[in-house]
Amino acid sequence: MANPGLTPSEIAGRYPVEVRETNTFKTHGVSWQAANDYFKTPEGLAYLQKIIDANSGSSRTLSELKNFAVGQVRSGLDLPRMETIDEPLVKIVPRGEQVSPHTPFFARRSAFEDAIANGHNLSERFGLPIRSEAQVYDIYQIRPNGPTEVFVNTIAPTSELGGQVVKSGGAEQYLVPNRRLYSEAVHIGSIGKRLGAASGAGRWAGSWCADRRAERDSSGSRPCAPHRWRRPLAGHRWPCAGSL
Amino acid sequence: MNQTIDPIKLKAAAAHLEWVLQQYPDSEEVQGLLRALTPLIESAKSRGIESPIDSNDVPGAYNFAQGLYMPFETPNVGGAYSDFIDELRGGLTEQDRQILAQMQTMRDRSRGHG
Repeated sequence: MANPGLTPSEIAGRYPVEVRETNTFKTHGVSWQAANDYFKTPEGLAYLQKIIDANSGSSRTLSELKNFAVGQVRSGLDLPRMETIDEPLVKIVPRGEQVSPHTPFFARRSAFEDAIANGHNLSERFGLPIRSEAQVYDIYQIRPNGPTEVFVNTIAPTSELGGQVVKSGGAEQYLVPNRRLYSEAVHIGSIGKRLGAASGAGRWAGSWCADRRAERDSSGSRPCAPHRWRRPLAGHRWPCAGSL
Repeated sequence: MNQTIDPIKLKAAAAHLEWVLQQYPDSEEVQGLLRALTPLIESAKSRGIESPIDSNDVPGAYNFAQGLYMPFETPNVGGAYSDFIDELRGGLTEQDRQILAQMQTMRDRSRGHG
């Protein structure tokens, strides 16, 4: 967990430049060699093909693209497995921020839902940088243009500020090496960081669920079932989310 | 894999990266990266780095992986950063060259040359 005795805001106040620039943020996933070995496998080669396709027309060197891919894979505790999906993925960013058109880091909605239902701290579970912690988050969604291969692994532990802040990771992430295969990120709602144990949890879940219901209604499929949500334990503070 | 530092190549990569980063004086992201990398760049330029460094231990690794520097293409921040981390880990391995050769084939095929 984070630096004992200091809240995230205290840490951000003490190291404002480092926190803002996130250059000390590190992932502790698979080794460089393991990632390199992965790119000799059929799935690894498929990953590289998508990176190349995403950068067709650019002057980027292959070495740069390879290191780009290695860095993405190394954010995981394990090597990615390839899956074909035809459903939206989401990302959460501090309110007012935009989703980069280049970032490959996304998740299924269910990953956030499961984390919340199990009382996890989202910032911990998704190994987020301090900078990505906020009071309110915007939810963005990308939708594949058709059935699309994605690469799934477990978020590795992370550290920041030379290890003063560490987070456990453990959630499932979806790596999207070619964003051209998806729609642009669309804002679909917002969530708050801190919500009361009684009313807040319902509001959080209700808001999220309302988004799901609207989406499913538009596709003609079964609406969301709000009763699946659990309230947090007494005294539990809802964690902040961040930009995954 | 017993990679060793080539101090001449590392120095050249460090100097080039520093120059590239200096070409974006108005970019907070790029100047932040320059600030974070300066100690490492200075060590590399003075041949003070003797052992390979893991790419995840280089400042900016996560920002690079999520494409933060992609908009800065002329001159190419990501390319210069990539070359620097390659030299910091002791240069390209034979396996790297094999993968890059496969990537070249893929790129040629995508462009209709294969």
